Amino acid sequence: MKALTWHGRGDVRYESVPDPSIVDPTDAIVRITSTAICGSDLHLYDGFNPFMLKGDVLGHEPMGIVEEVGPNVKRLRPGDRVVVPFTISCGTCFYCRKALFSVCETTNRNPEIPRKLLGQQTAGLFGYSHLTGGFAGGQAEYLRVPYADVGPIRIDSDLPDEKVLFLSDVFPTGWMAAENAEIDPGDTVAVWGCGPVGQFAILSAWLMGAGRVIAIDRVTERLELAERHGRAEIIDLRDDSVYDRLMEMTSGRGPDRCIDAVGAEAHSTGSVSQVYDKAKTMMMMETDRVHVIREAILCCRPGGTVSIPGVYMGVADKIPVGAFMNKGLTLKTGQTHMPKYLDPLLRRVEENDLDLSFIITHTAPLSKGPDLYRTFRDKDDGCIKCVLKPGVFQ
Amino acid sequence: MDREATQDRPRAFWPEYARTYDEPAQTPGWDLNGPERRIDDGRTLARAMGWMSFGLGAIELAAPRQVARFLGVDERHSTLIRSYGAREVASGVGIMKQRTPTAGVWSRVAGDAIDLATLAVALAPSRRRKSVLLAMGVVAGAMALDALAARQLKRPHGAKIEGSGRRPHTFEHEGRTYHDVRSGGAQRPKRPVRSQHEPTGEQGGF
Repeated sequence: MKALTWHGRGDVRYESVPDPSIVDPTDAIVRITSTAICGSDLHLYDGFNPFMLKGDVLGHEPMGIVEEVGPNVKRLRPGDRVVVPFTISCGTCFYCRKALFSVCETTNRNPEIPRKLLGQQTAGLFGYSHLTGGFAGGQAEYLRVPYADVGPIRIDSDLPDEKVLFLSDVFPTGWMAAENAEIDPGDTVAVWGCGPVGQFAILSAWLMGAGRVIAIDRVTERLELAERHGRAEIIDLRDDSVYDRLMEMTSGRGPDRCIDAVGAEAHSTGSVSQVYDKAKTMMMMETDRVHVIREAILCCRPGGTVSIPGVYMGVADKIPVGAFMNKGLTLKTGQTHMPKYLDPLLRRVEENDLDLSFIITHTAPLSKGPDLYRTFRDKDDGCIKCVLKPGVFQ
Repeated sequence: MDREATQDRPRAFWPEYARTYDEPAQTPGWDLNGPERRIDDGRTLARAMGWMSFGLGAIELAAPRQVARFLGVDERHSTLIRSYGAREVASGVGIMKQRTPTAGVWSRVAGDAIDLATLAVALAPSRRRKSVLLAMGVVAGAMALDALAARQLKRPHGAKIEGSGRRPHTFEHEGRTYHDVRSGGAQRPKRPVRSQHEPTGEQGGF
């Protein structure tokens, strides 16, 4: 089959790899009809994750048709149309029983790496390095889905792929970010980063009763989308000091809830923090650029909540713990506990006719993947979200 | 579409189902005959050793007299050095050609042993004993790395996964036998090969 494979920093290739097969009785093989490139794939593309091997298949936002199931798969049958979430969970372990599916203690096949790096192991993820189990990803024609009864959600309606594909990651991630922000009716919510997760966090914040939503970014098209579709007030960090603008907008109090939908590769304009992080990451003394976490903690009003859906990988410093402690902030984060959100969110899509496709700017055959990775990274051509179509040739 | 209507085959996994399963969960196996790799599969190290073979082989083939001079031995041995260079290049090609180059890496281990023996013979008559000892040290280091790569490549796929109770297994399903690839690279059943995956029209919007 054809797949997008990682070969080094900035080097993604469209090449032939062996077909996946049923290895465990709980596996299913899914023929992928649509798959997206995620912002967190760019952390791999930019070489921020040292646990990649040449030839690893990328991608964790797929959907498609079930081709084959193992003997212990009860909920799926060949021919079912499914969205496959990016986490792999066993459904029976200590954490899965607590609905903390993204820290499933069964599915990571390299548990010793996260144990050393993170203290404990976390769940296996599709196409997201050997830190998360070394599973082949979904930017391919076929995908082996372990624990197929737990992850995938069957799509029985005739909604097009584009309207349900983002249940695989970014919509539930934006939703859990807003849920973690503990939004009370009327709250002012500030969202750093207007990429796909940020756009869905904005949408989710409104659905949870926010009174105001303020979107912060430095990419014009993303701010425009947040303003036009997300009905958010916007701050362009190229023009303003984010802290000053937020204080102006909230009568000096600060936003009630802050969401960091940026993650490890944050940029800021002309700040000491930016230079500091760049220098330290270049010298391998820090792995993540945490400018947004610092800014969110400083901006958040006392007693408020900082929610972090953005992906971080290792260590960073100069986090203002004094502000965090003295202001009595709550910090909530985590990879999304996907099976907890899939059915309720699909219901919202179906019943409220929510159209998740508004973030798509580029659709192309899988073979164009390497070019789209570059376009997406450079934010060229107004790129916000790329959808790839395996099995479509142009 | 309704959860109640499809209760025999619900469309999604609900958190409360977690409490109804009592089978102990097992860590998923590796699809190593498919598109997956293990981070400790030895292939990266093997390729590095393959490149080393090419480099050393090229030097021995192109400049055998200089190699002889460096080792302080008679330049009449340049044919032997050239043949060792050809052997190195052959090992390099073997390693680069295979996805799991166990044979290529073992050929390097054997070659390292021959190199060491030859250098040991050359030590006494050499005019530059320090160079020969240095070369022996380098070859011994390379041999250790080759042996490590060979060991990683040879590791049975069913090796214990730390923190899990996984064991290799085989199971029957719909008349076919499925072998967990960790049991040592057993044959895996093939799905019908499609010449081209046409869009089904079910996804729409494209």
